[in-house]
Amino acid sequence: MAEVKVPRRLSTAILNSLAAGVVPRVGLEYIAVGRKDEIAALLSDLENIASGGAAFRFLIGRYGSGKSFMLQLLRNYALERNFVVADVDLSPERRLWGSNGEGLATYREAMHNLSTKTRPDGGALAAVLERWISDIFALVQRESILDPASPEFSSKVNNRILELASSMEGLVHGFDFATVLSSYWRGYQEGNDEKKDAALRWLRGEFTTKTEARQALGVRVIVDDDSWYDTLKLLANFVTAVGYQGLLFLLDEAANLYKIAHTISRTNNYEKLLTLFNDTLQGKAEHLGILVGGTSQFLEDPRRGLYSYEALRTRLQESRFRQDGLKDTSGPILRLQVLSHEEIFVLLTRLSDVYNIHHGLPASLSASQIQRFMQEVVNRLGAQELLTPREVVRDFLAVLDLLRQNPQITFEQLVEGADFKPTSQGQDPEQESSSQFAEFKL
Amino acid sequence: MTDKDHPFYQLAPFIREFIYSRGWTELRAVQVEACRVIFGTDAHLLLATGTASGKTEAAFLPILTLMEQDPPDSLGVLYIGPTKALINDQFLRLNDLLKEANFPAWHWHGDVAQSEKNRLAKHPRGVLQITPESLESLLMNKKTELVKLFGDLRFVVVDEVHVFMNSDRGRQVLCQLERLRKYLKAEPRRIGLSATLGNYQTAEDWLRAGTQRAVVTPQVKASERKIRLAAEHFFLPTLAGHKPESKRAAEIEDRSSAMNATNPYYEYIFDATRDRKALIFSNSKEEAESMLASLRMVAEKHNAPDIYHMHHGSISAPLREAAEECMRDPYTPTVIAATVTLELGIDIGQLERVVQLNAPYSISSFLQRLGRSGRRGNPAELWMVVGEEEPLGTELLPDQIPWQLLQGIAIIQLYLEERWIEPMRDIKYPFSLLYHQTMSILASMGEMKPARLAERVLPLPPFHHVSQDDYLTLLRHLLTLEHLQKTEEDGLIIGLIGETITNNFRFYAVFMDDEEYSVKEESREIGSIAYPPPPGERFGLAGRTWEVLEVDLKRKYIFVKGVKGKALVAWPGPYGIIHTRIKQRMRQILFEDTEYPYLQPHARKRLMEARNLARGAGLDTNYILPQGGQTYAIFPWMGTRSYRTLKRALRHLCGQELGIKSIEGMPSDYLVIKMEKGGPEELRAKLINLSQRGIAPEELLGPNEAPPMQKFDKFVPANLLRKAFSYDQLDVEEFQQLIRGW
Repeated sequence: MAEVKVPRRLSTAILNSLAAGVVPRVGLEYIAVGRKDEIAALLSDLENIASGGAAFRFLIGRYGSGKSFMLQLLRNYALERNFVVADVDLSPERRLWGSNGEGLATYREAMHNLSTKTRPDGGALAAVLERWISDIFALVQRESILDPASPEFSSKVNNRILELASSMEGLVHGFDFATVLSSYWRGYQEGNDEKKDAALRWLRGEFTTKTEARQALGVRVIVDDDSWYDTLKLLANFVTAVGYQGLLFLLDEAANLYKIAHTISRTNNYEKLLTLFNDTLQGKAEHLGILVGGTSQFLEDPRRGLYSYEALRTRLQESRFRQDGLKDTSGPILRLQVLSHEEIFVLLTRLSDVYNIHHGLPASLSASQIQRFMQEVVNRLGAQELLTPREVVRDFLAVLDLLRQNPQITFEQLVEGADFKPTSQGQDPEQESSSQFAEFKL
Repeated sequence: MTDKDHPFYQLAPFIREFIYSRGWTELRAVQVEACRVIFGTDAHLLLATGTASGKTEAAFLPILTLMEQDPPDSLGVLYIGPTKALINDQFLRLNDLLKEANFPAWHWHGDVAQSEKNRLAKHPRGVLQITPESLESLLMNKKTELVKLFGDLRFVVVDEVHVFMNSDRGRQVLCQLERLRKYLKAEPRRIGLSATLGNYQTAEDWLRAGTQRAVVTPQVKASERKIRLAAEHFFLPTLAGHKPESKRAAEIEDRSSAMNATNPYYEYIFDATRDRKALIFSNSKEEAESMLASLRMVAEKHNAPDIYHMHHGSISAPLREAAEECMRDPYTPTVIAATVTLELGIDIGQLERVVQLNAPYSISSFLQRLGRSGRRGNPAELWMVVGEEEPLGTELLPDQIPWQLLQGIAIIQLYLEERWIEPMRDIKYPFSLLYHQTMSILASMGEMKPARLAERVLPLPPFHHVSQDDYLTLLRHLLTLEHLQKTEEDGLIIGLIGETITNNFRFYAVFMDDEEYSVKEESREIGSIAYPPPPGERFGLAGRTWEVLEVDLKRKYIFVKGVKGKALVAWPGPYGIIHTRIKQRMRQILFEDTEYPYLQPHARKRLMEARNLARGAGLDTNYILPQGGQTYAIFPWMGTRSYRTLKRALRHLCGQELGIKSIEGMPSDYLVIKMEKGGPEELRAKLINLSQRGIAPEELLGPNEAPPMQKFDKFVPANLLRKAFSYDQLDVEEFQQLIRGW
């Protein structure tokens, strides 16, 4: 493996992210193991979306099974394939619906994180709009021989712009969306940044009152808790018209909906989820893919999980023929099994390669040493604790760091020493309780 | 005010102008002292002076000055008051000043419109007036807005500190202040306001709990206030020839009220309140109700107008407000019969007289009640009237002693002689509050690991005696009750059953609000009372005495059996704990020859009889007196907690050995027991023996006994309740110490 060349930019991101216990944004393909079928299914979803369809998947797996990793991986693939991606981690403040604007907060976060291939770190909304206008300029220029400074040129561009805008009008709130887009265009034309800003603010869901929006843009509606999903659909249409393949909406940490301690509010969120689900699967949405990452408790708990909401349960419940261990990637639910020990071994081997290349070290750990490390972790945590990639990887990198900086100690001394305490599942060193309560466990 | 160092000149110019324009000639002593502390130190401040001494102004004149010099970026002052009425009233006098200071006052409680709250959320400036319950709701539901609302908070003003100090509600306030601190830039200074406080130390401890600052209590010499006291005693009509046990309660009521119109007891109270503004305080709702009914009949007989109103927890809010309104009208005479609900500082205007039925339970309650009269320069006036069933002379010795009269005198004497007031008692195991804060914090945070939760909850000031083990026990119990639920990541969230509790507005209050407990003898309903007494306790209802067999907090039933003996009043709830010093002083009254100038003729006569009786019976040297046969009377002279301990010690630790068949008596005056083996000496020896060995509190509880005392105790596991009861409701140490003197 040592001959694989990992660009330093990527290896830095990989090692830093993993050491902090988070999924790297880039370079995932170097360390991805297993999951061939799942990835294939998701990639075929992307193709569907690109050809005008819509997709909806639940990524279900227990803690540490790599849901977030998969979502990131797919995000990278999608950006690479010229999709626009909006990803959001749900939280108590960011839900699909809420009485204090929690739904809108999700939308705002999505807009904040909106990414494209050229803007992979979010904030791509303005860039998408700029590209839209400059593409039209280029098109008009190619089709006609007019001088770009002439009024005829400008009116041709104007027609093109309004053409696209008016194609949206058939959709819910399409008229207002079109109005906002043409406002942006007029702002661009007149060199009026205020107008452009107002349009951007509208699209980001930052207007809080309708009066304000009417004064600034002449629209009747604003993006709010009820209308954010319709706006998202319009956006999917728009980015496709601009030339992207479609819009991918990633919702991670959906267990936060499960944790809402209010039956009515929880059900309302599930209902919203059902709307998203129905819309995409019944073909009402176009060029839109939605992926929801959650735990199996979130999905299956019959009393407060998604299955407690009858309408969703009947749609989601898997075929009676499904058995544990058998994969089925055709339904809306993709189950991620926890990585097997063999897969973790492959993962650690690759990591150790990336690490050595990054630091310019010769191959250091042997296969049996890596196995020794895994064995030691299992021994110390007890068999009931599962090997979760997040913790194992973090501990492994810590060991590599120690070995590199302290050449006097050997791998065996370190791993077999009394001070070697692997991180157990769900333990987050950043969030550690003070020693006084460290032993407080139920 | 010529001295330039005088605090007056440190006040902001607009405040000085305000003072001039009001024609105030000088700052009152308490206001000067408050300025000195607030301007000159960094400490908390406790202002404990008489009612109507201008405490609110004393706190706010210097605060507003500081706010003007350095305006905060959020709300600057949090004002916590015990009732909505107080919050609505309190700042009327300050409104102009606040307006001038551009420092708006916001009310925040259940009756405030949402639009008003939204306005505040947009521009949080000024002072927020709030009840502990609404503050709880804020902390639970508006977590994300707390920084904006309170981030730059400078002062927390707690009104009526004495109301909070000794209650779960006060402990709740301490938890809230601690929880709020996380969202603040700096620790705000606290200012406590209180009318009556005996011992500043305990109030200071409460005020500073959880902070590093000192508390300064300016010693302001109160202008000499006159008080007028009177204590009178009456025999109530006995229903000769009718054993109450043989009659239905309603029938007795009819007969007795027919006799009331001519009874001197009611005539006396009628005269005392006639054409006046007066409050009649009673220790129970039942007593207040029946007194009012009788007064109406007497008034009818005299063709006097019906000026009588009722004010207690079960009276609906509009009726209570109507009563308060009548009282505020300066021209119409009004009489309100009330229970503890009116002890708080609701301003009901000019009161001429307070009538106290029977003895109050505590000196602090006595002072609260006394303080309701004599505002604005008039002397405070309290008339205590004791009603007693006339003894026939054939009863057991303890039934012939006027306990209520003695208790009343003891309370007055302790205050007059020593200015003594009950100290605050530290509750070790407030598990009901622990449940409440756990659920509240979890509801606001969404999900927490058990260790994080413990880290947030256990360091709160009221819980410093609660061990991690106890807390684990509670959390595990709550998991089985589905009040909590575990997530796959081992976090805790509010469970499906817990949700129904925390999402109800009743959750915010930690005290039992307006809830009535239905009293049942087998399937027959006898009536209802406000506070459930623990099993084994006795109380009077519908003219009879009942012993509690079982309490079902969930369905709000109290199962009882009828017993002989007297119990004058209903169970007084958490207010009814009597301190041992009062009991000891009662004993002293019997054996001293002092004449108390406030005693009226009947009372003086009754006391003399009682003194003769007690001396003749040898009560000065004996604690246990044979009453013929196997019956013995015990006079423990112990406060409520030690008395309970004694009673339980007799049942659980002596019962077998001495062949004790029955234990009855009047808490906490006396006990009557039937004992088959041995006499007073053996009993005394056994008790002395007990006083010299270590008693584990658990020995004093029955095997399955877990008496619930507080609102959320029904969700606390039995072993924790047993622990809480044995440490907080009993007092083994004091019991042993008192017994050693026998």
